[in-house]
Amino acid sequence: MIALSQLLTEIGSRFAELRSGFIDHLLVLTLVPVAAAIVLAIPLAVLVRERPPLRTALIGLSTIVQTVPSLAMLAFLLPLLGIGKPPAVVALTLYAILPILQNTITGLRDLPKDVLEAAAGMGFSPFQRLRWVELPLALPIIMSGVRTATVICVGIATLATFIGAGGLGDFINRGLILSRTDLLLIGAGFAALLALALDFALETAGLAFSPGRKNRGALRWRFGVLTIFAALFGALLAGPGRSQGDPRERTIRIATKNFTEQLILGEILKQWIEERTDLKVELKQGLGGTLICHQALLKGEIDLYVEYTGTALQTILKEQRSEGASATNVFALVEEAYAEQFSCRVFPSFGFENTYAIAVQREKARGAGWQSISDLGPAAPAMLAGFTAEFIERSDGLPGLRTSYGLRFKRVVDLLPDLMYSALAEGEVDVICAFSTDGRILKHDLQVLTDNRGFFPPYEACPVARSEILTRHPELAAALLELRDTIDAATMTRLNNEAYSQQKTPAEIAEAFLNQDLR
Amino acid sequence: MIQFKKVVKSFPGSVHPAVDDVSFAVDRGETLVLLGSSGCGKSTTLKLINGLLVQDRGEILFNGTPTGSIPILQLRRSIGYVIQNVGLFPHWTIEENVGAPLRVAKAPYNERRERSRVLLDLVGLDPDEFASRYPTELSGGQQQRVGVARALATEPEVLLMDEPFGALDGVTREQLQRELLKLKKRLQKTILLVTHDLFEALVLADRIGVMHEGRLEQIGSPEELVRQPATSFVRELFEKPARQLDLFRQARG
Repeated sequence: MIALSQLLTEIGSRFAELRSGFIDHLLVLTLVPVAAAIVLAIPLAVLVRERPPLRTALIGLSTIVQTVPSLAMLAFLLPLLGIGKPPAVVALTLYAILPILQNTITGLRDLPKDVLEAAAGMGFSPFQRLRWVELPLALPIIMSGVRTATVICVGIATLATFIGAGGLGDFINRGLILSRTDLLLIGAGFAALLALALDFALETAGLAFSPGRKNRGALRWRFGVLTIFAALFGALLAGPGRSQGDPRERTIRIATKNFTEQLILGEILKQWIEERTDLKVELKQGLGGTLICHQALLKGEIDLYVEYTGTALQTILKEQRSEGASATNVFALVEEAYAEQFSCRVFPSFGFENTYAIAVQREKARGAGWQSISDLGPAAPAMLAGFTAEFIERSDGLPGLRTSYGLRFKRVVDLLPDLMYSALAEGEVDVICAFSTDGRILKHDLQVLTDNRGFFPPYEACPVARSEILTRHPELAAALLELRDTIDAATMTRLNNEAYSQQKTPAEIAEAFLNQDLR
Repeated sequence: MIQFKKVVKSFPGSVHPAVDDVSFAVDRGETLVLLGSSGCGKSTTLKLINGLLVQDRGEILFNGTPTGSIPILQLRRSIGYVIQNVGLFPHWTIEENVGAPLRVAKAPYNERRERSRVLLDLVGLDPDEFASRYPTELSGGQQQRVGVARALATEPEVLLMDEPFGALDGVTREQLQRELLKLKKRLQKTILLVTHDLFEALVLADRIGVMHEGRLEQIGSPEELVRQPATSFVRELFEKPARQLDLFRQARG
């Protein structure tokens, strides 16, 4: 268990980040979607309440929306709205509509009959009835719908980090990637606190603005609690932190994929560029998988990220596998295609490959005499394989592996990249698709089997940047070229392992690396 | 003032029409009580007048004009309406409730406020004590006084009262009945009141219309109904009070 003091230190050192994450989470990812949902749902509810077929259809539709898993929803919206805040706000608004819609309809249908009859008898017009009688009387039920929607939004907004929308989810995501419980706790803790505070504030507002006689005692202690919340969050907003306002043109936006090596490379790039040029770097750590980063690059939402040549060839360019192709050939292919198709420049490799590698427990390999992937063949039908979803689908992953080596596993299960290694170490699965530079191969004493048929294409790690930004800032290209061949595979594995074994942050690892190895 | 001409109103799924070929007239300043058991069509008759329901056939005249040709909101605003469960707005103060019909008619706040206080006084509620309270803080009898005050707010010529005292205990009911009689004398309103309570009808009515299964059995003064019942239904209904009326007369000499 981690100590509270450690948590506080971490909060202190990440104050500016926490503040902007918190503000995004509260304003952009919660209040905006909830407000939009109120504006949409209440008039809709008023329109459909007396029309049963429409009502059923609308509630059905919003229920379907509600059952779409949040990540899938974000993925649906990606091609339409790109990455960042707009798709996140749209998705969250959709989620917030159902509770408000349903409660407004229920609230408006559940009103005392004699009150409505009296209003009608007095000659209230339908609009006067709605405004003066029906909506005010339905308000408590509508408000409870708004509260539900708000809490849902705060929760789902933690997933918006996966499409680069920021918020407190950034901390949770990074905590997951780096196995850092403290970051997880900061992100999840503040999100929970925010949900609690907003729910309580809305409940209090509901009581304070509810018609009729008020319970002043209850309101008094509620306002007291709200003051404490406000002071807590106020301190967060008013505290020290870097000032915003870097001119946009001088800022390079770098994204990274969501695993440790990428986070470290991201920090290395950021620190290096900021040192060698007077450009500022905005780092979107753990933005998403290959396609999300690539899409973001094409849409100009980011300027630079690190791609692996094999991935570029197979996943993005969809080139047929060129078995046994040399690293140089693959690089040349990718470099040319990127320049032509995407107006992007592929820089020379950092000097290492992070290829897929089939890994097993070292002791088991020794016992069975497994050294290459081919050796696995006879044993495979009895083995449980734990692969990442990406590996299972990619042509340079499991499908290709099956054709090339004729491997048939007993069963294949989907595993998160971060869970694979410990799952293998603990014997939950028999074989995994490791990444060759992953620090956890060292940490868990795993055996990587050699790719004796040269199936996996070369996966050299190369910075990829938009040509436009390079034209605008030639010094950026120069800085990136200087990083050529500065990190070999052993170094990268060591840096990765530092994140797991020594619990260092990517920033610390990058700083140490730049200080010791590069100067 | 109000005239029904062969009015029919049916609800889907019921055996006989709720209001079946009903014709009668209410004179200015008169109190007509529609008497009958529940389901006899008396409340439906009332709701046809202010357009909460619309008749299938026949004609209803309000001051000589067919109700169908008067804009519905205007019609309702010129008729006071009092119902059994009052239907006060729980989120408005008593003062705001009484002023509600004026608010609908876009009267300014100060006028509403002053008028509310006068009306509360009129129905026997001290404005200083009650104006700023909320409906739930009042007893049933007090709530119905507010209901009556509200119905009087726009100074309508006609009051429709649907079982106004039906939800009250006996003592409160009698008290409110007495006060309605006083109010009636003072304000000279035309009142059409619906009740299932025979004695209430006898106390309040200038004329009584007896309704049974949608039909108006007989209409006349209490005296006529007791002395010359037109149908067996009316005779049976008034047998007991007729005897009591005799006893009462004898006792008074």
